[in-house]
Amino acid sequence: MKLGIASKLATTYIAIIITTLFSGAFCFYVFENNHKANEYMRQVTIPSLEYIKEMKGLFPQIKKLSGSIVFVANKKEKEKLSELLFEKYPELNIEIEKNAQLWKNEEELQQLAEIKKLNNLVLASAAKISLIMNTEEDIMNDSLVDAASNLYDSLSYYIKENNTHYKNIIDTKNKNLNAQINTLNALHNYLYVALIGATLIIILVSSLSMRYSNRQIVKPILALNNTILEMATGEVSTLASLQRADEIGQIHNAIGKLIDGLMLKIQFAEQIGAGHYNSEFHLLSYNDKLGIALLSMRNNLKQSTEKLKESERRLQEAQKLAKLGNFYIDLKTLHFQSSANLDEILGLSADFNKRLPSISELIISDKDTDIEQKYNDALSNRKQFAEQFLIKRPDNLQPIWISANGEFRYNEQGEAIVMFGSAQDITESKQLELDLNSSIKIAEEQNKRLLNFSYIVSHNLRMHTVNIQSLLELIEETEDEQERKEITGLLITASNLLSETMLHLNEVVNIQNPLLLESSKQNLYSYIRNVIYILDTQIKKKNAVINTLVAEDIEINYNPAYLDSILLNLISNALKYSSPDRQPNITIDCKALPVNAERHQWALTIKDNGLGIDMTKNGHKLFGMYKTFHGNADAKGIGLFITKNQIESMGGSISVESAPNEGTTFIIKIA
Amino acid sequence: MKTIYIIDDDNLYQLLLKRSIEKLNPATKIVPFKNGAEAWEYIEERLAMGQAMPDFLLLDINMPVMDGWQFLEVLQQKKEQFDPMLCIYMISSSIDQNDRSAAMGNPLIRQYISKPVPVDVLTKIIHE
Repeated sequence: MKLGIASKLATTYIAIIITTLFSGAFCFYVFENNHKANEYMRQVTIPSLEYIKEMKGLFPQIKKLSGSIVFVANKKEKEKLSELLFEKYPELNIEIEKNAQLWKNEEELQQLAEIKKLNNLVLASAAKISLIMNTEEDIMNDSLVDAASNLYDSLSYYIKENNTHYKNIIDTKNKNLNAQINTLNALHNYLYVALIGATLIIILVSSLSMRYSNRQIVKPILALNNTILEMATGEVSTLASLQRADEIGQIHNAIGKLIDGLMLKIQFAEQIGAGHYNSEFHLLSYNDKLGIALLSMRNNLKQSTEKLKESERRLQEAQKLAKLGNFYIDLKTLHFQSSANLDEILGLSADFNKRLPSISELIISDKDTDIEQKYNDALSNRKQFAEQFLIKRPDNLQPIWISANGEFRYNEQGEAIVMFGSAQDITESKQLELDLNSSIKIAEEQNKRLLNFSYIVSHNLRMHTVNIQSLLELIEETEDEQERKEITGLLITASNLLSETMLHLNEVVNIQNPLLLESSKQNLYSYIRNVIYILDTQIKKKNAVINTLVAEDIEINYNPAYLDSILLNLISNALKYSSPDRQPNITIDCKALPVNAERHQWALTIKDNGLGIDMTKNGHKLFGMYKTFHGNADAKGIGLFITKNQIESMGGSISVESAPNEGTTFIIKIA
Repeated sequence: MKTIYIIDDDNLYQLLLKRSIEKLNPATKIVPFKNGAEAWEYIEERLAMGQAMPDFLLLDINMPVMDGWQFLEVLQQKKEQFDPMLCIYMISSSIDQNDRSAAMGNPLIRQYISKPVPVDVLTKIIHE
């Protein structure tokens, strides 16, 4: 039977109402019957019994009075008898007649009829007696007395006879009365039973109805309510379909449908979330707002993702071009995450242990920049970390310069938890910068030297020209031929000095133009041997020992004249400034110095045990022009100046280590 | 009789300067030194013997062994031994502006004179 909740509830209510009505009607009926029975009993049965008893009571009086009339004529008693016979009895008879009309029992009516018959006989007898014994004198009349006596006898007989009838009718009446009382009691009991029964039925029906509505309405509604509340908190669980045609079933299935629709949308949203923008989705209706919103979100996301991918691709390419990569370091786990670009820049293979310690091991430390210190400074001062350093590549390629910029991210406790940033391969620009720096340094030094040189040259030139000018003035002034001769001699000296200065100037100017230099492969050892040969006289004179540790096969690219000049100057200096206190000992060596994995340069050292130079006092002037330190008469202060310039014009450098009275070591780096 | 020390490594210039001074004032004693070290050695000797210091000193800048600046440094270190301080004229053919300004800033130097020394300046110095 397919009935709605409303009809089911209505049915229940109707059942309750009908039950109530029925039990009410029954009660009413029972009440009515009871009332009637009671009325009948009170107004008919009980009075009739009374009347009959009263009537029965009349007859002993009638018998007594009749008897006394028979035997003692008494006027007073006679009057009393007549009163009984003609007043009391008729009155009572009328009452009984009236009452008897309501009687229902035929037996009673018959009994009453018999009683009345006998009553009438008694009454007639009594009346006759009263008539016979009319006067007091009648007692004297025996016939009269006899007649009266006979009458009295029959009267007594009738009464006696009637008493049996009376007894019968009273018994019957009493029996009926008892029956009626029983009926009344029975009705009472019925009423109780009916009331209790009705109450029970109502309770039963109500509870059944309650159970029914609880099971069929409240529980499903509560369950649906929970489902909806869950949905309100965002939880969505599927709802099994319910085979119910009523409203609950409809609501249940509607919610089920809602959930199914939501599930589809959730799945769709999950697909979108997972980046599958092409998964299928159908709108539930043309007005499916959420669906439309999801679709538009999907489309926007798809567009943005495509844009993002495009810009990522561009960024990637740009980063690749810029040799830039990014990194992310989890400071708890020390895990190092790097972009593909950075891996490529650093030369990290897939199996490289990407953790901070192994990454920092790649950094080539440098005495000027303590990377760890800088990192710790940045960490403790909550600043950006920005540093440039050399990195050795795990794939053993040439080290590269990296410029790293990093920032820390802190948690709520203020601890740094993450460092992220970018790193760029700046090897090319760094190399340029380094080259540029050294070029600038060289240029600065050359500039300084040139300035110095120009001052010195102008000083010397001026010095000589001033002298010559003064001498010429003197020649003009003097009259003395002897003096003039003398001054002319001085003039020649001045002129010679001037030309010597000019020669120096020429020599220096020649060095300053490295473009004119031609270099070729030279065997270093043979040049050293040649210089030692040239200096043979001085070596013998000083009894000096020359140790040549230079390997015989070292070939350097050098200008031959410069190589000669440099070696000659330095070795002859070592001889010239030897200590008179000990045998001069000069050691010449040449070793390869690695610049990087591919390149090396030569370091030529010329070490003596001579006078030495006070480096703190004179170190800065050592390679200056016209600087001499030992008071040697033939020291011109031009040799080291020229040597340095020659070495630098060949792209090398010269440095010196020395201590007074211990010796001097010149180190020449040959590019 | 005035005493003048000339510290200059240029022999010819020494000679010429000597001639010029003697011409201006024949009663002048000129003591020549090749460099600052020689001059200081001599001065130290005279100080130790309690002998008189020169009236003034003509000091060159560019010299081997001990140049003009180094000589001034030594004087500065030993200045408590002098009373009064030596009167020094710095004479150089240097055209380095740094030399000129350094000389002007040095309290030991009375005057900086560029070579050649003009006769009127020399006259003024000698007759001072």
